[in-house]
Amino acid sequence: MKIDEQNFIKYLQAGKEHALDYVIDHYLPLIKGVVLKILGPLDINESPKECCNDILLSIWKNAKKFHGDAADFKKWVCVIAKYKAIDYYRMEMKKKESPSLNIELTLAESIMYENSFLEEQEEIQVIISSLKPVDQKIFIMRYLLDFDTEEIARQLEMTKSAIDNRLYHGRKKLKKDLGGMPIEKSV
Amino acid sequence: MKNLFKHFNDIDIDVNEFEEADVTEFEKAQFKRDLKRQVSKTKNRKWMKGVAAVCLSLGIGTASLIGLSYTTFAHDIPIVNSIIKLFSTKDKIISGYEEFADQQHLVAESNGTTITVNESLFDSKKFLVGYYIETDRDLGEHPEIETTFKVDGREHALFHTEHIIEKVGPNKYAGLTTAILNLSNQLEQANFEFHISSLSNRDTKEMVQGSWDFEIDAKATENKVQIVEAPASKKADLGIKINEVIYTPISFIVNYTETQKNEMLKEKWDVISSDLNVKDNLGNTYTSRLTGGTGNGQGFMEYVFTYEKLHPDAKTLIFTPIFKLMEAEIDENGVKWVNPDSDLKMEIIELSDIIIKIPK
Repeated sequence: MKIDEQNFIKYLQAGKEHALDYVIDHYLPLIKGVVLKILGPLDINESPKECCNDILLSIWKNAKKFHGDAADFKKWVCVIAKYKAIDYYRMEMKKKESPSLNIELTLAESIMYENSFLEEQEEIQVIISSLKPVDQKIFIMRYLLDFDTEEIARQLEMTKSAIDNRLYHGRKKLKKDLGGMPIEKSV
Repeated sequence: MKNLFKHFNDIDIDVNEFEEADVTEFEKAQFKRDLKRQVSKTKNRKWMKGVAAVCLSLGIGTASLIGLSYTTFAHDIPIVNSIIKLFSTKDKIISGYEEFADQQHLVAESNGTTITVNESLFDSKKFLVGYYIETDRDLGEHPEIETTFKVDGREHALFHTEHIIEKVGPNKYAGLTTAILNLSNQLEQANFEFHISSLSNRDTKEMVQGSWDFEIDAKATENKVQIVEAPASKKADLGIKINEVIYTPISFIVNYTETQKNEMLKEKWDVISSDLNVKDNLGNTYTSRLTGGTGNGQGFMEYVFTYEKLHPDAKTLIFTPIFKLMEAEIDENGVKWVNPDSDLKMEIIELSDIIIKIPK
């Protein structure tokens, strides 16, 4: 089995470990680049490595959810890397900060802070999945990937105020729903 | 969220925003080594994570089948054509299945190894396929097999696959693979594409790679589906609601929902798992095997269990729901293991019976 640019996605999705080696050989520099850009300023030693490992593992576990060609794959990897790196960033910040410093927050920051209370990133995801598809996308971009509203507006071809509006209503809904709700999650 | 990584497909990110970092060959090698270790762990235990506790506490597992000696098998081979029958001598739950199996004669040869599928059986949730392997290699006593399935052309339609492979003579093996459909899938008929990609010796790790493909159109055994109206049985904020029973000529399949709302118990015990003790009005008891499970992590779980063949004269089924509260061993991955042989503490809470009239 010769793994190359043409077939590595297929083999990765089939669960072949050689394909993961290929991903490490060809995408690790990019993954590490994303991670360092986000975690670099924190000046912590081990985290970037752990984070890269976590990203590679996520790519492996979720390979079947990817669709597209090698160019799309590069983007997909980038998104996962950014998502994970932000996640690590928040965890590190949480360790550093004491809650008393968080009194004065803007609205956007306060929802992020609320999120950090939820402890588990997964829980946020479960909650987000109760939103309408377009709002899910906006929330993922805004809060999990830290895109600014202009960028989201550009990608979704909506106005910035429409995005802000949806974020506002989504947050309201989430607040209401925070008591927990049944969302199916596979074993 | 299941779909998070799917959503990521639609997100347009500027790849040029990031600069590639320097990565040494040494670093790459280190990542490969670390991941290989983690990946092989996740692979083996993938399906177990959620249900391991349940399975082990019920004493189910293929391990009990591994002790078969091949001499008895070899002796049986010329007489018994049914692989299901062959394995049913040791696995009570599939006993009688052979009567309803479809005979097949599908042969595939690859890399010096011939595989003949000679039997299949489908009960709307589970697809069993029996085959003989003849090879020019020594694959040890209990070879490992790598397979993939497509159901009606779709991949990932399965919850889980189980394999039993036994040596039946020099370089000859009998195998039985059970493919279990996802919980939401229940099919009257289906097309199964069964692909075998490798066989390997568990001890020496020698591997025969090849491509053995079989396509089988399966029609489910005649089933009767009973929607159960009986209310949930509850005690101490633990509950069991039986949703559905499917009666097949070889078994009955029970779908139930488990609720755990007792935070105090959840706090106190590592694992709380439910089970049903089942008997009929004649006093026959039935053993079960897990067929699938799904849940939301917030106190609701839905399980499907397959039981042995129902006694033809039985009029009612009596389900006694129980909850096992257990201490568990927790390994470095955070996976909880319940070892039935260890002396960790366990308590059982029994709920009141749910009685169901068997439809005629």
